[in-house]
Amino acid sequence: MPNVIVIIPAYNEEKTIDSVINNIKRVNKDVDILVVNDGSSDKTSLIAKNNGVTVIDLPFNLGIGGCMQTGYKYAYRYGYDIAIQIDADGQHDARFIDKLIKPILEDKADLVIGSRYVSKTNYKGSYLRRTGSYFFTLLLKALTGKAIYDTTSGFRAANRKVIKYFSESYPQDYPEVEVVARLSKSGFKIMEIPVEMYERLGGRSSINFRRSIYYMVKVTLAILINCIKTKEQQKA
Amino acid sequence: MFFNVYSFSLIFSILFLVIIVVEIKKGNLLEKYSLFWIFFSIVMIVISANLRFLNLLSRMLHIYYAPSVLFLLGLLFIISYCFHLTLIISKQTESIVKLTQEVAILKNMVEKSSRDVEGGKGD
Repeated sequence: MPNVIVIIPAYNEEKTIDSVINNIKRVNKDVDILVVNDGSSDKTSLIAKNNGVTVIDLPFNLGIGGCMQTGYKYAYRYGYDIAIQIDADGQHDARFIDKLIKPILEDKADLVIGSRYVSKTNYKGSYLRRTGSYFFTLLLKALTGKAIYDTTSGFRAANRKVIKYFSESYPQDYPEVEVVARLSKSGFKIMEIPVEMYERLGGRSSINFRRSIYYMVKVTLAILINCIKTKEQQKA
Repeated sequence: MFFNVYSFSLIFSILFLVIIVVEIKKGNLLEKYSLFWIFFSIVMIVISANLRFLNLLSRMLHIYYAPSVLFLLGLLFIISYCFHLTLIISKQTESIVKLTQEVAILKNMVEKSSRDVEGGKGD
């Protein structure tokens, strides 16, 4: 049985963190759980610690990229074979963890993305969100030749090779889409599997309506800039 | 020499160079960040003190009002130095992120091992 770690990046998620951890524990007893607390000002860290999981407290708020990378660095250092990232707001269903790691165990993929759009699920995102998502799918397809439908999904599983890559290099702001571009450019196998997603249980999306346009421009620029970077530069 | 834009620029540049040297000596300014400034003040001193050179330069650039060359040089320098600073900030941001992650992981390891030690005592 491979060593599996579930990384939960959390910033002020005291309302949901406990149930997210409990859900993972209930459906999957063999995995280790790591909460990376990104400088929360609420009780997120304390609640997670009381639940008996490993907690890494960042001394201040690094943002989702730096926070996620901390988890991957930990996973790499402690020799985990598979790392799963799952949101702390309850959007993702822990029951799909087994499905998510299956392609990795069968050596069919290096990174598996839990996707809302591969087949019909109950998830109904806002119109803007789906349009934005579609735009990134087209952009990635133009740049890498590969169609990935849910580029912004934060429910993912990575094998040891990707864990190593992430621990060395991970984009700092809005990393989800950029990471997919980088990986597929570097020749990693990426696979999407359909999962159910829920509306967030609590907390606020890090991307609210007003900032969506800024998000799209920024991510697009980041991906385009990334295209002119060499592999070595990405690692710096 | 009477007081005009050139003598003002000359006096200011010399004063500036003196301040840079004093700050380096006091340890308030790292040498690697001061090189750019030292270079700039020397260029300004040379140009301000050398009116013939300034006039030649302005004719070459088709600038009809010679002191504009001074403004142009100053402006270009400020833009490039701003850029230089952004490069430094980017590098430092990267270092800070790495340090922060390292500190957080180490803190977790220390807590874990001190818990293990306490647990061992209880047995």
